[in-house]
Amino acid sequence: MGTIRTIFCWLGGVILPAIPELAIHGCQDRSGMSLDYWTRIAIRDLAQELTLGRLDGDTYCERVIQMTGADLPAKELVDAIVGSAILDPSPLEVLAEVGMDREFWLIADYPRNWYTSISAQFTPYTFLQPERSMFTADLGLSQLIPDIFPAVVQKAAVDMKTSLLVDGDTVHAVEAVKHGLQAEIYTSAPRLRRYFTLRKMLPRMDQVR
Amino acid sequence: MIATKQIELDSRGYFSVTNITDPVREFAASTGVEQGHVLVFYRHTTGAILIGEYEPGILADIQEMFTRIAPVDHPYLHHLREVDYNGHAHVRTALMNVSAVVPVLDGQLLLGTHQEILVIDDQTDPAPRYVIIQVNGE
Repeated sequence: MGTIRTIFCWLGGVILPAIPELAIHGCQDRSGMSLDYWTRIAIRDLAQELTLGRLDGDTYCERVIQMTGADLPAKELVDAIVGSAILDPSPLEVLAEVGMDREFWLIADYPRNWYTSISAQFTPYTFLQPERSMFTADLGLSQLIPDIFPAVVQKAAVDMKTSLLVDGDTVHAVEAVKHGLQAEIYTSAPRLRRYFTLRKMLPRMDQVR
Repeated sequence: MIATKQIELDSRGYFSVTNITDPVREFAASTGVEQGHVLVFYRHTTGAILIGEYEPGILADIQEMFTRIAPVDHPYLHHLREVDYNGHAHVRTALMNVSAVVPVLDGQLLLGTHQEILVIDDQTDPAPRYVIIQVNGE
């Protein structure tokens, strides 16, 4: 494998919370209900339809509320999700360092209108260029895994062998490497920094002056 | 003292992997135990606890190895009872561990730099999965 020249970073689960987590917490917090395993899994499964662009954000929230039986207007859940989609600066600081000499692409699994309403948070991070954000809903995928991997590489017009996916979803990351795209499972900024340091893409902290 | 907690995982089976290092670390810290150990125990027969590196290539390699030595499509005798068809998961579990013990010193888990506490769920029908975390020490 050659040197990494392109980094793809998933939005939900790395830079922003994953949408299903926000939906689950939004429902639980506002309705006082404790959702069981089956409902949580159904909410996560439904989010894939959102990611693939088969549902819009409003419809996703309506369907989530139907599943949970919560007495909650869909608009309130939308507002709860968007209002809780707070950017985590810590991975961005690591990615900004490592992305300086590399092409950086954001894989946005949020609906475009939700993303637009929260995108002001990204302004300080100049390496997050709007023209290098791709929305999963726009990729025309019939299935997310494994179709997403060749799709993002093709859209970015880069070589898969010199590309890396940073993703908080273990299944995505494992399937990515099986399909020829190197990947790192995002769990925290210190671990991400350690990964890049191991790969000599960042200096060790004791070498930083 | 002994303190015990059960956590429920939203895993879906089919060799899904959940990293529970942080919840284990947080629970151990919450007990105030300075010296002792933490037992992590998986309460099922179709999965395991693995202390290893949380790296997708390693996880893919382990999965590939199990696909070779205990493939899903195989006439497992376990299937003869016609209850479930997860013989591969039981055989794989027999080759792994359902528990792990991590020493605690100065209130910290003595995990190595790249060691993480991972739960492998290899069930074929999604269902809640439970892990016991038990801290024993003083």
